[in-house]
Amino acid sequence: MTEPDLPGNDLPDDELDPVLQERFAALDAVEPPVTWPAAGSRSAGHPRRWLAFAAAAAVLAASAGWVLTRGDDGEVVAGDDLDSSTSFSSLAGTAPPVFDCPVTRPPAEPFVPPEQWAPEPSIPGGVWFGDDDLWTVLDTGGYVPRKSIWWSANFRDGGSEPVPEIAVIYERLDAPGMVVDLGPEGTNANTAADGWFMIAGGEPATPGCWQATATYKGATLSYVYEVPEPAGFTDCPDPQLAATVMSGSSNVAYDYQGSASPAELVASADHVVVGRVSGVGVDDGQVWIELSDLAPDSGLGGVVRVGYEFFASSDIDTDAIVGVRALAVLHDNDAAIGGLEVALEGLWFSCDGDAVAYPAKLVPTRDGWPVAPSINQLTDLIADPPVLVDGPVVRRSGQRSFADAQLAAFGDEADGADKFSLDGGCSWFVGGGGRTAIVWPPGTEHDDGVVTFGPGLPAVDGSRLGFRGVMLDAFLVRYEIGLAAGEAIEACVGGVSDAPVLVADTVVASPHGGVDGPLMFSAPWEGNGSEGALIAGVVQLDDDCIYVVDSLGDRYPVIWPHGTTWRDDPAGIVTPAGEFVALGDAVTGGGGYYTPEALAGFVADADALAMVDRCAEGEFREIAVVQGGTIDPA
Amino acid sequence: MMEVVADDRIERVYRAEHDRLWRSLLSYTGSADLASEAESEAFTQLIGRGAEIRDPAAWVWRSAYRIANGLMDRGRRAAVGVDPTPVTDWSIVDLLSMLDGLSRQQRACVVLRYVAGFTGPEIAELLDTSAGTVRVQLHRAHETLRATLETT
Repeated sequence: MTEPDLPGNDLPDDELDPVLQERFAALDAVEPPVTWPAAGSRSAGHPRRWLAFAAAAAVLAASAGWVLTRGDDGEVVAGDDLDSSTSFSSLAGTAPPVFDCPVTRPPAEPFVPPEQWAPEPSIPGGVWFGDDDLWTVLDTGGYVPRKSIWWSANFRDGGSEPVPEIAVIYERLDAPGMVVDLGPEGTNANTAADGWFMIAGGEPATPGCWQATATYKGATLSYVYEVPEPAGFTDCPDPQLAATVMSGSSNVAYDYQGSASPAELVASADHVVVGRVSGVGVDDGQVWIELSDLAPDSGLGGVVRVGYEFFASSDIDTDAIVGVRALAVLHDNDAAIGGLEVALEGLWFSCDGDAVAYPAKLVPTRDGWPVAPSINQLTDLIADPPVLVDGPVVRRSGQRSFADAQLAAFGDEADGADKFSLDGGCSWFVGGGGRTAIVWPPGTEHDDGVVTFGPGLPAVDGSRLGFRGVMLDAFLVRYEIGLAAGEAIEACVGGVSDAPVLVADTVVASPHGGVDGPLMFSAPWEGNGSEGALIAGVVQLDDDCIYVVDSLGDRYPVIWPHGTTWRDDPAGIVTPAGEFVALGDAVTGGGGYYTPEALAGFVADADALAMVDRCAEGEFREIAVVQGGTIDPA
Repeated sequence: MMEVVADDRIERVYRAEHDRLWRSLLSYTGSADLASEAESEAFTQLIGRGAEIRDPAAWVWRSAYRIANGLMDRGRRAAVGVDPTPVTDWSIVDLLSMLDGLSRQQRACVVLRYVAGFTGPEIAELLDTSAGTVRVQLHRAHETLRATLETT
């Protein structure tokens, strides 16, 4: 990384530069807290533990005064000074801070629900909490594992509302970022004692300070509860437990951790097994997933069935954990639930010298974050297009969005060598003196050497294509995309972990873009990626160039999205959505700014490039490129 | 299999980058909590990947900002500059409050330039955007900051 070198770089000179440099130099007085992960966790722990440490450290920072406050003298202080020479070894033993959980206490006058329900809940030690619109049960005798259960006067007849739209989110107050979202729907339930109520799922039982927030028919109710650390471990797990766990879930208490993604699990794994999901179902309200074709050396047998539960493992002493083992599983394309990617983590316990395998949880994910297991969300996951490894084509699923992709841009016409290639059982982008393995976007299909992408556009070996996406090191594909994709890509690049891989957000065929009157438009990108920079202003026509003039009076020629057209009378543009924007009217959209030399990948049409050259102006000759396919009247 | 490696190289990166990275994250997120969490998580991930990362310094900067974005996306941005007390001395709170008028991308460009001291192409690489976008965003940020400074 370079040292500060403000003058003379490529950025525009501005009289504000020295002012801002001086102002921001004041930050040098703020002494950063130590954020180095706990060394004691590094060798055997799980990243989640480091996350917990980090979060705890943040809490400690806040409690210690590291959150910015104004001191008596008006100066801003950032907490305790820490000696920058402090050794890492001394930091390793930093004790976790104590977090004072603001547990919700029952009011002096407990809530009494409408007559249809009993004045007190049947749950021992429980009291009603809330109001007519939404209430639940608070436990007065300390934490009790239970479901996420809710009542409402608007839910008098649960029989007519089998899938109530109750949304419940749990958030760790002592470990910010750990969120369990039970989704937008629950199920109905009824008991003689407690009447109709709603079950949103399992209440998180991971030790910590949890805030539950439920919303139903416009009413919101929150409460805070604390799950204590498990009592000391005294007995060895039942030797039969491992076998029981592997074949079913009825007797198993799973410890759900809300922050682990498959990437985190795999990154910390001693062992990774790729299998496939061969079935999924529901028994007694519990979702189960069957995994098969597991690697022989996994020691897990040929078929494993794992269920969901959220109840704490009160008989487990975390100190007895001697290792972590992860099992990452990916479907294959013809599996019934193609597209579902799961990760399992098993905890290894030392008990009388023998290690006992204890798979602890099942974490489906979307966008790299855990998704609370509800049947509805599982259905959503199943509906996603699956990851595909089909001969030379590795296609990513729609579970992970690359809408922020903007790094890689390739021109297919600018360099005669640039092309798409099928070679060695892999697909490549060839250009710039090398070749890059491709992970195709969702929707791409492959059949006997013909790759079909976007709206049915075919490509064969040698076709000229343009790609936009992100570049990843090959080893990261398994984390960012999926294990099957990662294994296929790593095979393509010969196991070179840092070989570049293009994860495509959009693919486009030649020709690239064009012109319509004074208007330039880009190729028909199929993705939704955008750099996120705002392109907004008034449309102006000047010397046969269309500009957008922003609020500062600066103007930029625009590469409009494919499908934008020019209209002569009255003069203006017609957006891809068919909306007319007259000259002098305002538009807004997302995109980025590029110099003419950096437009490859957006437009390669000769007429358009000539117009770019003619219309670009100013010191840097930037062009606004509307991305994501949409531009709207402001 | 991935190995958890906490080699000297990463510790050196931490020592070299920590102050600047944390201060820039503080300025970007407006929260000491989020800055600490984002940085710690980035180094945790870096340690987990160990020798796989060729340029750990660049990687940790890029990752920390992505993580910070994720934390802020989840609505966890803490309030900074909330002290309503009028002050005449320049202060950190005022400094960071000044950035509140910027878009997230403009704010990132400003802090990476003036707090971290990166050049335009380096900022573009860190933010996965084009150098042109960085220039335009900084230009717009300057206009906003200039107006703010003129009124204070």
